[in-house]
Amino acid sequence: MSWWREQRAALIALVIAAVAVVAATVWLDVVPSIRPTDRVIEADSSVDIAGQTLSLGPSEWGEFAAPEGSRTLSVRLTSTGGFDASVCGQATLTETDSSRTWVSSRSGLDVSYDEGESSCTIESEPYRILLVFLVPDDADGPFRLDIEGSDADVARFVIEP
Amino acid sequence: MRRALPWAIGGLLVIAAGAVTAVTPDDESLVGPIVQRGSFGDTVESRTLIATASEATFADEVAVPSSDWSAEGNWLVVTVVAAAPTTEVDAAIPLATLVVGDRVFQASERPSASLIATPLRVGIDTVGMLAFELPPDVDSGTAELRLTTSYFTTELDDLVAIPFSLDDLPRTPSAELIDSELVDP
Repeated sequence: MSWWREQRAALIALVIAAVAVVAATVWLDVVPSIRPTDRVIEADSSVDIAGQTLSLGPSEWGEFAAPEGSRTLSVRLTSTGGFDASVCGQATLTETDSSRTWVSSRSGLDVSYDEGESSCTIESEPYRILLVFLVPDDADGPFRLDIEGSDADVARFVIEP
Repeated sequence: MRRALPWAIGGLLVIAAGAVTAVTPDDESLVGPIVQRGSFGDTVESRTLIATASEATFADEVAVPSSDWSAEGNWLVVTVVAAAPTTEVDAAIPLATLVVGDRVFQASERPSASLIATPLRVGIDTVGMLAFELPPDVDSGTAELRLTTSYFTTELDDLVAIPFSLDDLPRTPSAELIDSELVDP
């Protein structure tokens, strides 16, 4: 016991140093690496995002010609538009069973732009959106449709074509 | 005995310190890539890329018929079939390199038809071509094709590496580069 008492000052200094090391590591390394996570808004049929209200419409398999072994899944939405409307980020389709994720893309597909916008956009009047995903034949769904909003918001719909 | 004990403990600690120093990985392996190596013609899968090098040929000229462009030189044209394993977000090959000895060559960005930066699909293969513009003396020996889905040299992530021999490759006067396209899965 006398040894602990003799070394009291050194032991207190050691404890303070250890606490300081942990605090400095958390402050300088751990805290800066924490990224804000997106706020996911689960939506049944409509959602307010990017200054407008998006409503989920019908989804359809094989509407557009696709390479053999794959097919298109087209998802239609309507937007109210609005004076605060802004563009959205990427729209992704994720198979809930396998977690495979596809990005909405019209490249290589014969999709007319008259069918609708490819994402939500800056528009004050109501307008239509057409998302087209090219997926392999073995992907049947159900799917999760995520649309990134203007901030850290993500609108999430369930698609069961 | 009491005098020898501290010396023995000190000696053991020095040996232990030497052993820890010896087994500590060097800086290169601490941040280096995790190499996924496969043979030419085989499918190699990494965390973000599934790739197969299917053909390779030397050419004295490469041409892109769709853009009426051609260039002479010592070209190595490699055909690659690629797909993304799980997600199409940021799925592409922005950096492809050919390592020959201690020299590293980057796939040329001069031809407009190239697999470089072509968006890759999940579950659907994309076939495209990579053209390497090489010095005249690089026509033999062993080369390694390295593919990554990052713009930067891979660190602490998978790197697809496909070694092959340059000795037996055919040489053609002119090779046509076609745009990347989807192929049947």
